[in-house]
Amino acid sequence: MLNTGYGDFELRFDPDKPDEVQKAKETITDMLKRGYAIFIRQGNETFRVRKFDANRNVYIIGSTPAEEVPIAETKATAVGRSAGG
Amino acid sequence: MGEESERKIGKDLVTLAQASRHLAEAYWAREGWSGVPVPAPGLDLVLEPRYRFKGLEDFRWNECYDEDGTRQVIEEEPPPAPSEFRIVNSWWSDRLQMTIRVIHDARGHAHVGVRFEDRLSFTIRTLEAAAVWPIEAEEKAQKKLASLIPADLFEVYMLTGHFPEISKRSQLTYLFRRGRPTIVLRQNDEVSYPLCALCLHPIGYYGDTWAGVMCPTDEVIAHLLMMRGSEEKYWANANQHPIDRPAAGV
Repeated sequence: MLNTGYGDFELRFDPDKPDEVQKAKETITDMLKRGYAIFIRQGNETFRVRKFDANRNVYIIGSTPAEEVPIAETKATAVGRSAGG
Repeated sequence: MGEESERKIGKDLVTLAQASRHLAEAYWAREGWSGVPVPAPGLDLVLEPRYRFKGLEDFRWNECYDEDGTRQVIEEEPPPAPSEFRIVNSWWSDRLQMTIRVIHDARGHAHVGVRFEDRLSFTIRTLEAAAVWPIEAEEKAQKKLASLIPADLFEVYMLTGHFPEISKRSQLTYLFRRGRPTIVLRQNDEVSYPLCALCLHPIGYYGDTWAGVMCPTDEVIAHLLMMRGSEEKYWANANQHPIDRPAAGV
């Protein structure tokens, strides 16, 4: 997550630890609710996360099942809402 | 006096950049994912309207301490007196390189005024804003950027402060620049011309500068990811400055 005073903070979680997974899910849900843009990389492509399915722990980047990416299998970067300039 | 002499530089008295880092660490645990922007003396802080600490825009420093720990008062300019004049229209003149304003007086009579935007003033104010960026944050951001672009482009970025990338979607060329808006060009075998400069700051920025509340390379990363992952939103969210305006930073 890009951050004013730190460069970026990294939030890592162990998929085998339910409390860490829960914390990651809450963080992703909260960020999307606050308007953060979350980007993930799939191969050479970058996608913006459209939604997050907290029940299945997947990022949704499109409208088909093939466009779902498990949170445990990708690294994401979150950017705060834009103030213009 | 006794209380002041007990204050330790680096512990009780910190620089703006140190304050920025402390705030980021303190608020991380409280879901302050983006950190907390630090107001810079003499500059207007402009924050995203729904940002949780939006009230920081009204914060003004009224004192600071010099390197010896001696307190200095920061005088603030009084707000301007209410004016009988009202700006009713304005536009940028390419030919005159200034903003033309139409102003109405109290009786509704129209007058013409001009506003100069000075590149040097932008540069100097941006230098003042740089006091809030921790150097560690910039170094960290550069490491992250190195993981996002090819090594040769990262070298170009370190040497010149900018690097190009062509959008796979629109075929436009984006020139991402450290501490300046991103320039967009239409380039092909037949033509090459700039379209505009895209200015976008996550969370906030300092008015009449090129400085955002995040360190410059973090802003480059934000521009790059938005272009790659959501080009249409990037254009929708950014301010599009004509290339010859001082705000474009060319």
